[in-house]
Amino acid sequence: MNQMPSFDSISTRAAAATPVRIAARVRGLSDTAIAWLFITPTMLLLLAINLFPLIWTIQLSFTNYRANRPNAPVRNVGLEHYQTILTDPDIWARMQATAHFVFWTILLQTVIGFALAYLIDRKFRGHGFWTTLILIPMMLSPAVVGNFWTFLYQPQIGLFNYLVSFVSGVEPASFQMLGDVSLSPWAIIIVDTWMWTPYVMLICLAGLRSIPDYIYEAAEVDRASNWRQFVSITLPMCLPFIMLAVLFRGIENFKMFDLVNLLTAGGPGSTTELASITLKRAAFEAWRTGYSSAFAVIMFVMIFGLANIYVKALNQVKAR
Amino acid sequence: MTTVNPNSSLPRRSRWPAALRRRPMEALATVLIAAGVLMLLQPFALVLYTYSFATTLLGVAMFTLVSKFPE
Repeated sequence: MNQMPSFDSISTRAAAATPVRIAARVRGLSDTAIAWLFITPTMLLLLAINLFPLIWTIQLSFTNYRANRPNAPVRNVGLEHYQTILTDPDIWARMQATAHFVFWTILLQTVIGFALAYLIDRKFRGHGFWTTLILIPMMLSPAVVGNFWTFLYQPQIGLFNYLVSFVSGVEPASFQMLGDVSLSPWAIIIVDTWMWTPYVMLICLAGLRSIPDYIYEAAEVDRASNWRQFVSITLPMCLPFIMLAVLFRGIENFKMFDLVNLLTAGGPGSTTELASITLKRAAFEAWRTGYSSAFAVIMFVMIFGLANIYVKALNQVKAR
Repeated sequence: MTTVNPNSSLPRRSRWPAALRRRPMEALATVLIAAGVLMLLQPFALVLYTYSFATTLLGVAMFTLVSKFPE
């Protein structure tokens, strides 16, 4: 008969395998000291890859440093970059493009995601299969999604144009989703919604499954209609989860880069140039490192603020 | 002989000012952060955009500070 090795035997074997000199050194340490010994390498790594670049970026944001001229003298410019960014109407326009993208993606993802979660929660025949199928876009790489939606949006051979033509009767080659000034902002919204609605659906599904059945049973006894049950029970009890999804998608879409860069690269003109694309252009095309550092700090503070609210909302959901 | 204080089991009244309790201060900081983000993304007035960063920074600093306050 197979017997599972006991914990004692494993720990005894591990202790026996530890070299005598190390064992002698460790034996004198307290539990707290050993805990610190284990977490110190991770903390050092985190400090090196997270905190150090952040502090360096903040420091660079007050200088005129350019990464393509490392030997040029670096001058302290104080808050000049912050002042320039926060009074520039062009950057303000980029922020509005970001706001348009964030608002519509969140709205569509929340409405469609919640509707899908509500349907999946009905537990109809084959709901497991449909859940898996709906979740597929979320699992794909943004690079893959960006590339194949570029093909889907092709005016000549793209399936999207063909479908629009099939439904509306408009010639498929008569419009360009990615090349038209009025359509391109919607093109990126459609792709992001397609990709991330499953994520919102999953969070909403968790919210729906957390509602105890006895509440609905009590409502049935009180002869509450389906609509009344939805408005008075389902929606309020799911609201913290929906808030969580909205905040998370808001943070993610505020710093959206990869998908939009692959689809339109900010074009046509600067119609779909989101804040992160402007930042990348300032940093790696214009090589204004100090200026782009200030821009990055502004975006970081915004995202950090939203993340604080997100964590607070998460704790409220946990406490429920 | 030891004496038993009958009031010893009652919770001690905190000297922390009621107006500076964590929950209302956190709510205020959250409102500041949300206002700052909305000011950054709104399309109506450039002046609101200009002061958005300062507002959010104030909210973030306040949130970080008041999260250490007692309940």
